[in-house]
Amino acid sequence: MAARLGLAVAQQIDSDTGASLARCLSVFTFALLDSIPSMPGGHLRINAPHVVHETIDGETILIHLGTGAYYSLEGVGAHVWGLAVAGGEEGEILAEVQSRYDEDPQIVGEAVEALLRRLLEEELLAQAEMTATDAGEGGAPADGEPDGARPSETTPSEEPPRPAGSAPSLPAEFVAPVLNKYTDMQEFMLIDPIHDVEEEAGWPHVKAG
Amino acid sequence: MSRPAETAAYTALPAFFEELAREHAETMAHTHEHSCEVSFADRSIKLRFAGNELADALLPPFRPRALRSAGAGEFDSTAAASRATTVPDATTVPDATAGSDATIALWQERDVPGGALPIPWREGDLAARGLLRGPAGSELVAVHELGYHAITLIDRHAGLILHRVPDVASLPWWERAAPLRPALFWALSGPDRHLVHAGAVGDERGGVLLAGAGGSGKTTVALAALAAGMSYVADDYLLLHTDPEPVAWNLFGTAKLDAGHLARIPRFASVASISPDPVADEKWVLDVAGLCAGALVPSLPIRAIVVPRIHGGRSALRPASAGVALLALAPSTAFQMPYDDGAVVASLATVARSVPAFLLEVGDDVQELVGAIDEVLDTVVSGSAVG
Repeated sequence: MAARLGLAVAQQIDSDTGASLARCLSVFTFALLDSIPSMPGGHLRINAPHVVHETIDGETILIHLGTGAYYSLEGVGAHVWGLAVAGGEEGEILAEVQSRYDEDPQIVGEAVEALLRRLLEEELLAQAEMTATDAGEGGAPADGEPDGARPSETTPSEEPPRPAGSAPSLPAEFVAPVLNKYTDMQEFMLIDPIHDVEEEAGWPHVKAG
Repeated sequence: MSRPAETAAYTALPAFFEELAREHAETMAHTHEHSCEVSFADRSIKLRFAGNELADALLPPFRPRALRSAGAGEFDSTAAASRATTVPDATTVPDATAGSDATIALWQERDVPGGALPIPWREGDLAARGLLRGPAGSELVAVHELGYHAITLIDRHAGLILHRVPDVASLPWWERAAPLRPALFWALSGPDRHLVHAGAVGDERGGVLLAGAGGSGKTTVALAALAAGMSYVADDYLLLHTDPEPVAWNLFGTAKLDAGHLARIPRFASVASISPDPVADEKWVLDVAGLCAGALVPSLPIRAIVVPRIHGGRSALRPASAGVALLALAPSTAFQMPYDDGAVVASLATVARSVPAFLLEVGDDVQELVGAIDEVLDTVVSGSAVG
């Protein structure tokens, strides 16, 4: 599918003070552009263990423990996330959402594709590579890390299904999905810089004088 | 949380843990032991300080949670009350679990005879919030609080936690108001119990969980309720049991106030304390346990989640979705205490599904805030709708 959707940062919202609502929340909306190439096909997986997520009352909350950013998705976006979590292949996800609406399939497909791209760019999703089982004996482990480096990492087939009770319901009318991004807590993930280490005394004793 | 492959520093952790435990014992022998036992919900923790200075700095917030002090029949954080226990054998590693669910050994580097052991890791070995990178599910864990170089080493199997600070004089103000959070995380957390960044207030009808990031209005609402004589569990951090029903448990007998809080509730201005030479953004600390002993309660069953947002003008209360509640509750907790790889998020979602949520626009009149909490509790108890 020809990708004609791009990303526009629409506004920033300060969720902490509630006054200007202008600093912390970046709402990403999707506008028609010509510059984004088609995504490679293939299965998707959650970028575990960096990303934790919950879907509740049709709203999905995503937390990236590596970057300190967190996100929310509603409606079609939450539905797409659920399909991706279930290990859906990108084409399958597009087709599934297209089948739910009378809207022009190209419009629906481009909006969903743009969301998937955004989820990949934010490293909330990752392309699932072939597992050792898929590739046969001696195949490369997923994401190229040494065996055992990430004991909690899972491939789509290993990812347990999410509780069905929290599955979001789709809105009757198609609304292009929006990924809400919040960055007001990234300070918690920063590590203080340490300088002027006194080697003889051992880190982190600060060099005298 | 991301925990990349085990580093050489992590490989050295078991030996360092043993050496550090010995250092604590030697330091206690050099000074003396000040020990006491504190309880949180159904768990008790033994605190073994080397000397009085650190105990005097860290124990006051735990006063309402104290069970007993070694050698004394009643908990007392003053130095005079605690010179009771000595360590007969300086080389003996502390008995971790005798009579308690966990033991925290605490001392200052400056008191270590012969000098403190250097820390065997570097900044690059640390993940978010100072967690030493290592394999997930490790029995041995280390946290380095880089702001003031306190280190906390945890042997999860033995229930022994070592907490060394450079110097009591270097303790940041918040550590005197809400101390030992990494240690308490490891000592108290479990599949259905979590340290949570939230407040809780209520009355005989139950409590509301106050959810939101720093500056959202949790403390404002908690202090308004406290001033009105409602029950108080926390303004910022608490222990949340999630099964079979959500229950908020008190951790600290304090509240942290900024100038805005003091302006809204002037009665606390004269009794809250702050350092003589406060650092930037330092807050006043209110001794809730001492000043409002009747209001501080060990726990409250949670009937609702209230998401405050500083608004100004008139306060307003309206129903909110469970998603709004979870968005207010989960990220700030997961980011501030990311040591469980975000497992807390699923538990918080369970709580958000189990009780109703409300959005509270925090106006200028504290009486309206009290009225809003009262309305929430009336609503959930009677099943009526928010007016």
